[in-house]
Amino acid sequence: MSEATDDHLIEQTRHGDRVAFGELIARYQVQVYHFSRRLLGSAEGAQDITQDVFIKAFLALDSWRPDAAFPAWLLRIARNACLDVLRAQQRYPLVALDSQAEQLIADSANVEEHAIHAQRLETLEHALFELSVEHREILILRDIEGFSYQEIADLLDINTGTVRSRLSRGRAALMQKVNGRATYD
Amino acid sequence: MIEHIEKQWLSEYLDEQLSSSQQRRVQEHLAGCLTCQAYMRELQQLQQDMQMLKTTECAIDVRAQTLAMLADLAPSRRHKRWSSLEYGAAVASVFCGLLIGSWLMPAETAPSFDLAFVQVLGAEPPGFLCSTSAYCYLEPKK
Repeated sequence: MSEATDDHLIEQTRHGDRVAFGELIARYQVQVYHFSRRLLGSAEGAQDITQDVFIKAFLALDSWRPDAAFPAWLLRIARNACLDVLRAQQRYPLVALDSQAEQLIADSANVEEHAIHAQRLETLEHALFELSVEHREILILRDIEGFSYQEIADLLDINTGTVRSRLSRGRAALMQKVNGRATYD
Repeated sequence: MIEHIEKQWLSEYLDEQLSSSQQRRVQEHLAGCLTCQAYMRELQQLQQDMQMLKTTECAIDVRAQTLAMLADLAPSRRHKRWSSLEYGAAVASVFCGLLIGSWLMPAETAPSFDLAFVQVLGAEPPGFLCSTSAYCYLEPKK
């Protein structure tokens, strides 16, 4: 991948440089895909949405403001697309794990250790899928994607106070599902 | 009965989002409360595990399909916005066109009062106001 900034690649894209846009896709496709996969609960649906996100982004590039972070803008488009799908389906998303935790196998010399890690992460993915969309998306954005409270507030169109309370409740709900026991009150 | 720290405070403490005074209060409480310490450890472990999910993400590549789909879209779907200079030039062109047009158009002078009076009545005798003046009193032919 090149070292050109997002702003530069976006400007090149606006002038008709499709190679520059390909570079942007390469940078953010994994992030968009896994965000969509976790929010939607479907790997196949996530791939379609990932393509859809970049096409919508390409067509709307004129409306992107340089003061907004490009990946946050992409995830905002992805979130809206996922919510549309979830509303259309009107059902709880299917749990379709891709054994993401298997990536640990290559890095761990201890077979038993990696099996424990893999199991824990698989449990975590399952538990994440069982949360409400509200809790799931905020946990993904904060604890997996690493966005700041303000960035999350902007992306979800809520205030930072709501981010704080929703994140706290989401973490408590996830812990309860993962650990299978009630936390203190 | 021990009053525990609010879970939301512990969540914000994990993310370093508390004010200095709030941080101190949480730290002081954690020093003496095993229940809150346990909750804090669970929160930290949960966050570490969530971050681990990020590092284990498999790669995908939708570049080729996406760029192919973009190539199929009509070029006119992407409209280049005019710059303010281009807008200004367009407005100036229209204004100049109107100005030049108004100079080239012959000026219409209003007729004098006497001439206007005669024009209303016409130079011809009153009878001539009727297109078939000589026959207008006759009944139409059957």
